[in-house]
Formats: sequence, C-alpha cells, structure tokens
Amino acid sequence: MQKNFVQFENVYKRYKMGEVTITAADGVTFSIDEGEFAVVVGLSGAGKTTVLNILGGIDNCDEGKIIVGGKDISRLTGKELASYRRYDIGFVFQFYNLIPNLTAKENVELATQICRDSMDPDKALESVGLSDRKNNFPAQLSGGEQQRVSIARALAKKPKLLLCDEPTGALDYNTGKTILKLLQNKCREDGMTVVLITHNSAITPMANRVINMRSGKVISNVVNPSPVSIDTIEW
Amino acid sequence: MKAIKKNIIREIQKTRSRFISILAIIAISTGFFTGVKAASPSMIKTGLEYFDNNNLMDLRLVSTVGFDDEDIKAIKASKYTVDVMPCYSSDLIISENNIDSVVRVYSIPEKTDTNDRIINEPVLLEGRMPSAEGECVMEDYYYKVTDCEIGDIIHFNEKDGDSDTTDVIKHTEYKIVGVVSTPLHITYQRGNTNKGSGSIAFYIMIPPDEFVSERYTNVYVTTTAGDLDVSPYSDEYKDLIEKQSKTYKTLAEERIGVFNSTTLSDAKKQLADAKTEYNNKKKEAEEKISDGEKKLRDGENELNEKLAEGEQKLKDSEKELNDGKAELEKSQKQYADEIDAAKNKLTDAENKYAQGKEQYTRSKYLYDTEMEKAQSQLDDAQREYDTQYSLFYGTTKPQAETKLTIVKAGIDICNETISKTQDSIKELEEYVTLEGDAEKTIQDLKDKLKEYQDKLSDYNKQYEDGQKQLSEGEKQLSDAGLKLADAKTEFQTKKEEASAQLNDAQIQLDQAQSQLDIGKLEYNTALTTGAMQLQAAQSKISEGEQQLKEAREELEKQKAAGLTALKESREKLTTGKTDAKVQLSEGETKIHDAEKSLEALNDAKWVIYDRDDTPGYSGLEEDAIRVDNIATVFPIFFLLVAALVCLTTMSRMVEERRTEIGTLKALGYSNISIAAKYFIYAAAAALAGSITGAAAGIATLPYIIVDTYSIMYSLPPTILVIPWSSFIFSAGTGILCTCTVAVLTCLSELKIKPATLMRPKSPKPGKRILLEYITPIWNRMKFTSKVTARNLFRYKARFLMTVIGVAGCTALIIGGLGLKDSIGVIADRQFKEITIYDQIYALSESGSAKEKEYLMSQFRKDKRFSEVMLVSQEWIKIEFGNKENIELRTVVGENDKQFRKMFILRDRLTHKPVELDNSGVVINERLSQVIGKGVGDKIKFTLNDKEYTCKITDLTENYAGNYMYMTPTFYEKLTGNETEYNVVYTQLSGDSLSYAHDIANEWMKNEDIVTVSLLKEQLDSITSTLDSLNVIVFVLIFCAGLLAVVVLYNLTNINISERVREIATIKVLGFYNLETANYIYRENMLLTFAGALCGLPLGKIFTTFIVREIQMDMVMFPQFVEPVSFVIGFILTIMFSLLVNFIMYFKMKKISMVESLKSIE
Repeated sequence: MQKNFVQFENVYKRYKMGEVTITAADGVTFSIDEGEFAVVVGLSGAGKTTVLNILGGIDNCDEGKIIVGGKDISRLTGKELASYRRYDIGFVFQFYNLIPNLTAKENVELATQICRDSMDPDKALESVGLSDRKNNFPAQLSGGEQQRVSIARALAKKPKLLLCDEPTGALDYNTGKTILKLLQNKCREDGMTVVLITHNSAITPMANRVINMRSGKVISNVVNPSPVSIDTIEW
Repeated sequence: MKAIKKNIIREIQKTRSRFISILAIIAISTGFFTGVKAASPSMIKTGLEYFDNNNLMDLRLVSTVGFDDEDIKAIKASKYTVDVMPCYSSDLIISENNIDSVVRVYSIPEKTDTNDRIINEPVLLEGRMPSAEGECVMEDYYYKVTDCEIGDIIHFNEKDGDSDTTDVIKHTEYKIVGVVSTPLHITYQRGNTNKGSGSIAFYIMIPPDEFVSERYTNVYVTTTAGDLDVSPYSDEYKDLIEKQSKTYKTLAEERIGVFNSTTLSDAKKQLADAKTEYNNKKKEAEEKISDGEKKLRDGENELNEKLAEGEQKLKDSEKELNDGKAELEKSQKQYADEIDAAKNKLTDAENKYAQGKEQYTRSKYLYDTEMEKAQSQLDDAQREYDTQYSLFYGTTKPQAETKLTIVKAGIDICNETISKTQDSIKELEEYVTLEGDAEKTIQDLKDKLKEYQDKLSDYNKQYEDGQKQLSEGEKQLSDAGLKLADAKTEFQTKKEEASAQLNDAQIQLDQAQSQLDIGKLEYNTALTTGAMQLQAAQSKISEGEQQLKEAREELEKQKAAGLTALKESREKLTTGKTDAKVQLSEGETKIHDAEKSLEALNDAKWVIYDRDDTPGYSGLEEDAIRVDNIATVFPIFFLLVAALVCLTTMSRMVEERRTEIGTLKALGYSNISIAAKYFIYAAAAALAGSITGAAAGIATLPYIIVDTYSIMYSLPPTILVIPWSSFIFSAGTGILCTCTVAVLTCLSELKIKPATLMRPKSPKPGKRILLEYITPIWNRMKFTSKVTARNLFRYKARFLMTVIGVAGCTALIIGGLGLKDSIGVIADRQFKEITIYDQIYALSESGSAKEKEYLMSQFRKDKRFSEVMLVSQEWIKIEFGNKENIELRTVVGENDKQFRKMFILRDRLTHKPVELDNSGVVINERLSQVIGKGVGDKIKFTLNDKEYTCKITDLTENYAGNYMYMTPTFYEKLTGNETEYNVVYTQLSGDSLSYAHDIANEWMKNEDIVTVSLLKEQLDSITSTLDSLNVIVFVLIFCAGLLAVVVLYNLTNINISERVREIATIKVLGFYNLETANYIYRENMLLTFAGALCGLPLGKIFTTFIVREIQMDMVMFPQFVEPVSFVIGFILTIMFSLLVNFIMYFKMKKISMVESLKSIE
C-alpha cells in the first residue's frame, strides 16, 4: 500500500463573485495513503467539496500541488483531466446524477464503455446488490438504490480513487447506513481508496483517516488506527 | 419592485444569448414581413404620385377621323369632364441600315384654352424642351438603352406610305434636344401600330405646331372620377370610369352624327356629282371612239381590196417573166453544153497534136542520136578493122610464118634425130644381145627417143596450132571485113528508112496542125454566135424584170401610202382612246379615293380608352399585387415558425426559473408581479426585435424589390410607404406569442405550491421505447444509439419543435426555390410546349373570304414559314362571381390538323391530348379556376354584345393568358354566323428574332395585314416580368436561411440547457469534449434530418400554396419544383445545422461541471 497516495500541498482555490473573492481552499495540505477510507468533515462552506472537486479533476486549483499516485494533476490540461477522470476517478454524488433516461445497467454501461479495463456492468451491479433491479430506470428506484447504482457506476470503472460527496445526504438514516457500509466494505475487501466528505462527524469513527476542515483550511488530519464498523455507529 | 426590476435586467444580461435569439427571430420575421409588405404599396404609391403630379388623363379619346374644335368644345362641355387637352400623334417610319422602325411622334402636351392644367405632363430629365423648329425630345428608356445622344438627328423617311411625311409633320429631320418621360409610358412597352413591323420602337415629342394636320388625333380628358378620393386602381374608380366612359360614348355617337350630317354629307354630295359628270363624259368619249373605230375599219377594208388587185396583176407578170427566165436558163444550159462539147473536141485534137508533135520530136531526137551513135560505132569498127588488118598482115602473119618455119625446121630435125635414134636403137637392140651394158645405153636411147618423139609431137602440134591460128586470123579478118561492109550497108538502109519515116511524120504533123487551126476557128465562131444569142435573151429578161420591179414598187408605194394613212388614223384613234382612258381613270381614281376616304369617314368612330389601356399602367398594379401576395403568404409562414420557436424558448425559460418563482412566491410576491418579469422579458425582446427588424426590413427590402422593377418601369424615385398595419400585425404576433406563452407558463407554474416549486422539477423518468421491444434490432444497436433513440422519444416536445422548426425552414427555402422554378418554367412551357407559333398577323377587316384565301396561298408559298394557319380570334367577356368579369380570346382554327400543331391541348398532369369536338368548347385550366366552372358546366359569355351559352367539354393546360377554343363548325352552330378569320398564326423555319423581324417587315407591306406580333417579343416581356420576381425569391431564400440558423441555434440552445446536468455528469465520467458533443449532436442531427425530410413535402405543399396565391387571373404558374431544388433545400438546412452545431460546440465545452452539478442545498 502506497503511502501518501494522495497529497495536497498548499492548495488554494479562489472564486470571484463580483467584487468579492471567496477563498474556498486556503492553503490546503494533507495526504492520504492508498487503501485508506478517508473522511473529510467540516461545516457547510468549509471547502470540502472544493477539495473533492479539485481532487476529482472537475475543478482546478489556483495554487499548490495535488499528487495522486505519483502524478501531479494540478497542471493537467482539460483533455488530460478528462482522461484522469476517465481512468482514475470514481465519483459518487449526493444526488446520484444518474441519467434518467437510462436503466440502472445502462447507467453503469455509460461508464464502462469508455474505460479500457472495466468491470462487467452486471457484476458491478451485483456487487452493490442490485442484480434484480438492473433493468429499471432511476425513477423506478428508491434513493438508496439509486445511490447504489451510482456507486456501481463509479466502481465499474475500477478507479484508483473513489470520491463520494455526501453520498448519504439525501437518504434516510438506515439507507444511508447501508450505503456507508457498502463503501466501507469496498474499501476493506477490495482495498479501494475512498475519500468521503460529510458534514456528519458522527461517522468519523469508521474512517482510517479523518480530515477536519474549516473555512478552507485543514485544521486536523488524524489517522484512526482502529476504525469501527459502521454497524456499531449510531447517530 | 426595485429588486424585481433589477432582477429583470440581470436576467437579460445573464441570458443574453437567449434574449438576443428571441430578438433575432422576431426581428427577422417582422423585418421580412414589413419589408416585403412595404414594397407593393411603395410601388403603387410611387406610380400614383407620378400620375397625380403629372396629371395623367382619365380617358383618352381617339377618332378615326380626328377631332375638330367643335368636338373639343362638346367634350369639354360633357358633364364629367374636368379638363380636356387635344393633341396629335402619328406613327412614322425611320430607316436605319435597311431596317424600318416605327417611331411614335407625340405633340408635347401644352396648355390650351380648354384646360387648366397640362394633362400627361412630361418630365424633362435631361437637356431642354424644343424651342425652335425641327427640334424634338426623346423618350428616356430608348435613350438609356441605346447609344443615342442629345444633339442626334432623327431622319424620317420622305414617304409615309402613299403620302409624304411632310403631309403629317413639318420636317423630316428632328434634332434631339432633351430627354423626357411621360406618365403615358411607364414601361418600355410601346404598344402596337399598323405600320412597319407592327411594333413601335420609341417615341419622341415635338411641339404641336409642328403637326400639319388640322384635326386633332387624340383628346386627353380628366374626369370627375379623378377627383374621387380613392386610388385609381380601386374598383370604385374603375366602375366610375366605366360608367363615365359610357357618357362619352353617347357623346361620340352624337358628334359622329354631326360629322356625318355636315362634313360627310357634303362630301357625299360632291362625290355623287362628280360621279354623274364622270359617267357623262365617259359615255361621250366612248361614242366618239366607236365612230372613229368604224371609219378606220372601212378605210382598212378598201385599202386591202385595192392592194389585193395590184397584187394579183403583179403576180401574173411575175409568172410570165419567170417562164421566160426558165427558157433562157434552158438555152443557156444547151449553149453551155454545146460549147463544152466543142471545147472538149478541140481540146482532144490539141492534145493529140501535142502528143504527135512530142512523139515526132522524140523520134527525131532518137533518130539523130542513134544515127550519130551508129555512125561513130561504124567509124570505130572501120578504124579497128584497119588496125587489125595492118597488124595481122604487117606483124602477126610474118612472125607466125617465121615461127612456123622454125617449127618446120625443128620438126625436121626431130624426124631426123628420131629416125637416127630408131636406127641407133635397132642397132643397139641387136647389139644388146651382145652386151649388157649396151642394154642400158639402149634404154637411155630409147628414153631419148621417146623424148624427142614427144618434142616432135609438140612441135607438130605447135605448128598445126600456128597454122590454124593464122588461118583463123585470116578468116576472122575477112569476116570482120564482111561484117563491116554489112553494117555499112545496113546503116545506110536504116538511115534512109528512118529519114523517110520522119518525113512522113512531119507531113502528118503539118496536116494535123492545119486541121486544128480550122477547128479552132470554127469553135470560136460558134462561141461568139451562141453568146450573142444568149445575150439577147438575157437582156430581154432583164427588161421584163425591171418592169416587174417597177410595178411592184409602185404597188408597194401605194400600199405604204394606204397603210400610213390607216395607221395615222388608227394612231389618232388610239391617242384619243388613251387620252380618254387616262382622263377617265383619273376621274375614276379621284372618285375611288373620294369614295375610300368617304368610306373611312363613313366608319367614323371614336374609341375611348381608359388608363388600363395605357401600356404598363395595369401591369404596375398586377406586379404590385404579385409582390404583395408573396409578401403575405411567405412572411406569415415565417412568423409562424418564429412564434413557435419563441414559444418554446419562453416556456423553457420559465421552467428553468422554477425555483426562483417558488422563492418569490414564498416571499409573498403576487402572481402578477412574478409573471411580470417574464412578460417584460418577452415583451422587451419581441418589441426590440420587431422595431429593429422592421426598421432594417423597411430600409432595405422595398428598395431592392422596387429597384428590380425599375428595370421595367420608368418611374420617379421610389416613395416609401410604411406598412403600419403589417408592422403592427407582425410585431403584434411576435410580441403576443412570446408574452402570452411566458405569462401562461409562468401562471401554470404558479399554481404549484412554492415548496414544490423550490425543489427542482423531478427529471422526466426514463421510459422504454417501442423499439426496445423489437429485440433483434435493439440488441444490435450500439449503446450510444440506444441512448440517442431513447432520448429522442423522451423529449417529445423538443423533438416536435425541432422537427417542425427545421421542416419550416426547409419548406421556406424550397418554397423560394420552387417559386423560382415555377416562374422560370412558364415561358418555356407556354411557348415551347403549348402554344407553338412565332408570329401573329392581324388581317384587315375588309378582306373578303376569297382575298383571304389568296393571301393564305401567298403565305403558304413563302417557304420561310413552316406552318401557316388562319384563325378567328375574338374577345369575349365572361361574368363570374359578384359581377366581376374577365376578358379573354376565343380561338377558332380553320384547319384542325394545323390547329393541333400550334395549340397543344392537353391535360396538365397526364399530358393526355384533350379532344375538341363540335359539342362544346375547351377552356384553359386557369380560366376554369377563375370563373369556377368545370367540365360539363355551362358557360355564359358575351361576344359582340350578344350573349351565348355553351358547354365546357374539357380543360386544357395553359399558363399565360386565357383562351376558349372551339371548332369552326361549333362556332357557326353557336353564333349562327360564318367564322370570320381575322388573324394568321405562323411558325417559322428559322429561329432568330431578326429573322422573324425581317419576315414581319416584308409582310407588313401587304395591304391586307394590319399588325404583326412576334412571339419572341412577347416572350421577352413575360420573361423579364417574371425575372424580377427572382429578386424576391432570393430575398426570401436568404431570410429563410437566416431564420433556419436562428431557429436551430435556439433549439440546440434549449436542448443543451435542459440537459446541462446530464452533460456535466458524462463529463465527470470522463467523456472527452468531442464525445460529449456527439452525445448531444447525434440527436440534433437526427432531428434536423427528420425535420429537413419533413420539410421536403411541406416545401412542395408550400410552393403549391404560394404559387396559387400569387397567380393572377391571366397567368397560371405550373407549381413545379425541380428535384435539384429539393436537394438544395435539404442540403442548405443540413449545412445551417452543422454551422449551428459548430457554434454550439464551444458553448458545450464551456459547461462547468462544478456549477452544473452543484448540489441543490
């Protein structure tokens, strides 16, 4: 397992909103080892999503260096970023962002068809426990199911990094728990590096690493030597 | 409210492209609509202002006998008359490079005491008006298109038909000093004439006092109809003018009556008197001539009798003379024969004598020569003999005798020796027995003996020979002596004999000579006597001949005298006759002329023309109407497409702002104030669009269109008429559509509870599409195709919008092209497939059927015509609908076979020939549409003020003009009149216009032909009229293309903005830009394709629709779209779509994943 698989060094991101400049990432520096289940926690507007977007290659930073698997992604061109997203990153959003016009399986296929070494869509769906719903459209699925399709879509690409932006934010407690369980299992069983952002600090005990952010700054980066199973956590 | 206002402004700023695209769509459609709509009224307005400013007449009166001042006064006094202006015009011929062209000469309209304003006032464009004699002004169109210049001189032919040009106008040369235009001629059509080739090349104007005639040819009248406050193109004006012209017709009849009773009856009386006088004179002259003829005949008879007598006598004496002559000839011949015989005899004798003489001379010569020769031979012989003799006796004999003595001596010796020897031998032989040796000696002796014996014999022989020779010599000599003596004797004898013979011959010869002399004498005497006798006879005959000759001369003289006398009297008679004839024919011509002019006067007619009869006047309106029709149909369709797109855009916008609406509502804003934003947004875009579009459209399109027409019309600069109603209509439609949609969508959203509103509208659930159930196809489709297919059916509204919008644009482009195709094909179809002729000759009315037959035979003889046909053509009037009526021509072909060659009657669609039989008439399709009567219906029409009703048996394809076709038999059956053929249709074997012109010029010289119209000229005028529509077509295609771009842009824009989240998602998944674009464009292209495909039939329908709208009563457009137009329309649409896609690519590239996927917190 590679140490410092993900490295943020002094990353700045500023948004200009008219005359006001908002610094969303204010010298962010942290690192995550390979195979870790990292949770970024902080309040709304703390800059978590910005960090995740920059890490996922869908946004760029103004300053600093981001190294993922030994590759500096902070200076990539648009096309290189697209390749980076294509082959290295799996994204899971709060609102799933499934294509409503495609069935569960097709949503997964949408991802696998552009990858060189991808999972079989059916297997991906099986791994998230959705084999029997694979021909349903997103509208016909519950939120948890949709999120599982979303996770299956992300995993099917066999990414190096699975990024989850509040994956349980739109789900009820139990469903959210199931999703987190799924993610934790993926990390534990398949050695997948997972970065999850949440505003819910209650779930931090399940992580290998907890990064706390506030106002665009990392205020703590703590390694949890003994993460607990999500089942034992209640909030 | 302030925040709301700011919100609106910010909204506009933020969604600039959407605002602008709505604005642009509205601008294009409004601009196009108002711009094209402005063209037609501007055209009319420009024309009307021109007519008004230059006081165009309302009615034009033309009289076949001209007008006098009384007529003018009467017209002036008529109740409707406002102003009257009499003037002159005449068509004269100029010849240039052997080409005759007809020039219309107008008098310059001037103020007279009858008018307050100048009517038809010309506009001076260049130079000045004539101020001196022999000056003229030239028309502008001809001036513009030819290289003629101010200062050029127009030379008229000296002769104008039978009369002189100077009988009509003062000069034959006019100098151009200026260029004018007149409201009388607003097109380049100059009308027809019955002179030259039948068409007028150009017109000039000269001052009225340059005209010689006293009677005016034209009278221009303005009537109270002009004071009416309506357009002269309106039906009200037209009705009024028709009513008023009836009054003038009545007036015309009155004035003609006056004319007939005064001028005409005077003329008639004079003519009658002249006729009587002429007839009396004629009778007198005829009597005189017949008297003279009789006398002449008597004299002739007498002379002939006398002459015959003299002739007889002369003949008798001639016979006698001839007998004498024959006798003389006979004796002459006899005499000649005798003389000849004598002459022959004499000649024979002479010949004989000559021969004898010749013989004698030759004999004598022979005798002399021979004698001489014989003498010399004899002498030689004598001399030889003497020599031989002396030789023999002197030498040879003594020698021989000597020799003989010697030989004798030898012989003796030998004998002795021999005997001695023999003795010796004998001795010896005896001795031999004794001695042997002696034997040898004996032998030797014996040999010696022998030798001597031989010698002896030789000597003996020699002696004998010598002896013999000697005796022989002696004998020879004696012989020779003998001979010589004989010869001498013989010679002597012969000499004597010959001498005697010669003498005899001489005597004979002498005798013959004397005989000959006697013969000669006799002959000469006979000759002389015969000749003398003959001479006498000859002289007698000569005498006779002389007498005969004299007699004949006498007779001849008498005859000549008689004949001369006769001739003189005959000549006198002939001269008298000719004189009488000349006088009579002069009288006759005078009477004929008088009759003819009287006839013309008899038929005195006033023809009343209104403005519609001015070339181009009604054409201007028709063209304007055509433009207006296009302006109506096209832009409405245009507006429809635009409204549709605005509608989609606005509804989309409201949907997008759903959260905001919810928020505002939650904040407690009233529905109206919330909806106001969208209303204002829409209204602002639409209003701004309408105004800018209309301004741009009005500022450009009318000028472009009217400019095109200005090629055909000579009008002052365009006066722009702003079509307010059209502007309001189009702007209103645009604004109304967008605003209503905005408000309605907004209001429907507002019905939903704010809480729901504030949440994003749940995306449309995915659905299985029909195609998925067809597993063999579905499974074989690529993943991306599946996505596209499903998406297409998911957004049905957008699907429809795009397809309809694109189809509309394609249809507009095809409509434009189709219009061009339909227009372009008319001329060819009409004049190459349907009415196939080159020239129409109008025949003079007066010709009888026989004259026409003769004329036709002449036509047929001219090999330059490939086909000639006599046609009866008349104008009829058909009433239809609400008292409207249409005028058209009947065509009755004399010969069915030829008729079928020149008029192709067929069904437009199937091209099946249409039958024309004796049961009814065939009319053209357009006419049927206009009057609303079809096959089998009864049609009622007015011909020569009589009404007829007949059955329509069939319809035929025809594009330009309206026609009613019937057979001559049916015509006669229907009207009860015989068919009066009045025109000749021809087809030429050549093709060029000059060829047709040349032939027309030639034939126009024929008195029976009044005018010629050339199809080619007609074709050109039609083609140029229709060509000007092309500009409109191009404007249309351009605008349709523009619209297509905006529509596609807008729809793609909507598509993208609706699916921005989807696009962001797939971008996050790692789709490259091009892949992302394809993901969207695949649908777009498919929709465009589908739209363009739908647009094809729609374009066809649209073409049919628009073409049907713009066709007039007189013209039918074939509604025809070339296949290539479909292809162009299709390809253009696809190209526009690609262009839009290209623009959109950058927009799509710019979509930010972060922004689009921002969780709705």
